[in-house]
Amino acid sequence: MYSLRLALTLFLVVVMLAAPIASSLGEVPYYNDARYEPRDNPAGRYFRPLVGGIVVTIAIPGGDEPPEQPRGIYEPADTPYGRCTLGYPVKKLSTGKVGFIIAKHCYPTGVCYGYQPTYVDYNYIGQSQRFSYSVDAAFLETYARLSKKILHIYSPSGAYNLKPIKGKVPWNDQSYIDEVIYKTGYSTGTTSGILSAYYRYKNIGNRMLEYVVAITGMTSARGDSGAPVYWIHPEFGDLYVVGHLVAGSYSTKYAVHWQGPRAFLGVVPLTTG
Amino acid sequence: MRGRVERGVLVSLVMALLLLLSPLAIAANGSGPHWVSVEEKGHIVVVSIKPDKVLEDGTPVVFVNDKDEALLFFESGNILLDYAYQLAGVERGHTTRYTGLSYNGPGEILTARMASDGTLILLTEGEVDLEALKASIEGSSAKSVIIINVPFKSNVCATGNEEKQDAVLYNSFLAEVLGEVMCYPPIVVIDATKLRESGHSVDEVVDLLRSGLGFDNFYLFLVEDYFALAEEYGPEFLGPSVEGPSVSESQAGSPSSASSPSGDELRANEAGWGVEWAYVAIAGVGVGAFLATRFIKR
Repeated sequence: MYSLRLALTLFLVVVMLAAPIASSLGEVPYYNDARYEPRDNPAGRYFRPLVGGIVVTIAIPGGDEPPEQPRGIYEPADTPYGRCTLGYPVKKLSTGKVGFIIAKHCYPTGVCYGYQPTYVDYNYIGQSQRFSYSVDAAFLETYARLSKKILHIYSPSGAYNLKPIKGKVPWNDQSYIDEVIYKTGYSTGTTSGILSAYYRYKNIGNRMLEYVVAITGMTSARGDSGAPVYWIHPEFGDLYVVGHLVAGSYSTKYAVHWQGPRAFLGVVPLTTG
Repeated sequence: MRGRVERGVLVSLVMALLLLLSPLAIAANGSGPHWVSVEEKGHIVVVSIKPDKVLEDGTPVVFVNDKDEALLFFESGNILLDYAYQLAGVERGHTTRYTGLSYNGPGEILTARMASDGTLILLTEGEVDLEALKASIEGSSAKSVIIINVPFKSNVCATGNEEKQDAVLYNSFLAEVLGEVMCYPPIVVIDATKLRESGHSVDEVVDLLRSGLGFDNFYLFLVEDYFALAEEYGPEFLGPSVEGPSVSESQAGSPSSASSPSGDELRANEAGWGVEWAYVAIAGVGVGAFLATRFIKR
């Protein structure tokens, strides 16, 4: 009988030890994640000049009710389609035109129109000029003024700053592996994760994407598509562009490195450095 | 008779406990996929890929038939590094860059990370001289060292040969069978099922990747039903927050999309319940054991 009680006591001790093991399996590290409060979302506001990390309302050609008056530079009637996030500012090398990277999967047609923040004529900011499915990117050429900055929300209360883009994180640079990187998106604000791998090709939604960066432990949701992904120098606080957010699975999110749009769209990130 | 019942209860409880703990124990001990090799060389632990087969031209090949192992390609950013962190008991991201190494031997140290507990984790490429490396580490604050080593140089993700790399997708049957190409370690994933269906051989694939497309060295992973698994468990595009022509001015800019969980979050919640249920099960077994103790006392 004594041995039975001893065995059961040992059993209870083991069970108690198992609980923290089970809980540790679900832990994901986060860093200063400033997921905004619903009523105070800086990424949803009006910004002029335009910066990366803010909402863009996408409209596509083919609205049922064309406007009675021409709406500006581009005339076709358009239909509001959804909201995504303006990526990082870029310049097209061949023409010198500037704009932003957005995610191609944010619209189903060959062309789209961007409004910031809302779908109103006077919020029209520009039109997509070129896209590529291979890097899930489109070049939204903007006529509204832009600045080489990205919105960085550093507090859940919605406090933010507009950080100048100092430089670019090189493609496939292994020294950035395991570094903390950030994204600012319309839906979940500024969140962080770990740069965990580079993929030259990655099957996402059974479509082959190129120049993919894997990020673990980062929160994101629909509407964050296109969000600029960046690294902040831990000592100097300077911001360096990594790419734009496109996809995710349970624990891993995926961004396309800026090298992808450079190769497929001929655009390079605008930096101050 | 009563003794038999008591013994029966006890045996049942122990078996339930073993069943409950075995997956937890596997996770806690860091049992990795069959192709991960761990060797201790002095004070240095070397983590690398152990191929199932080496082709005549030297290409290491790994066969992945197990679903859980295949899923690592979707849920693990860098498989070997994840495993090394698990082995060290360090959480990813809880390290800092380490620049105190003065290694001048052959091979290349791609990155060095130092955990707060003194674990040094290195990514290396090429034939690294472990003795020289050990000597350079001895003067540092590193308590233990884990090396993730790829013994050969690779140009799989090198810039400058994009044209050749693009040919993988556009100019051959490889487009039908290629799953993904990871940069470090250089892993090319092929859907083994599709490859069989295409009537082509592994040697043909390697020949195309090497001579036709200019890839130097890589590990070839043949994963059964990769595309089917990718469809079910792989990553998905995030998509716009509102679809269809329902965005009005009053709606646009409102944070409604943030308050309703996306598919991504729902999946996370489901997974979270896995841990919750583990708690419930552990608590249930604990209560059962307590009641059994009371029963035996009587």
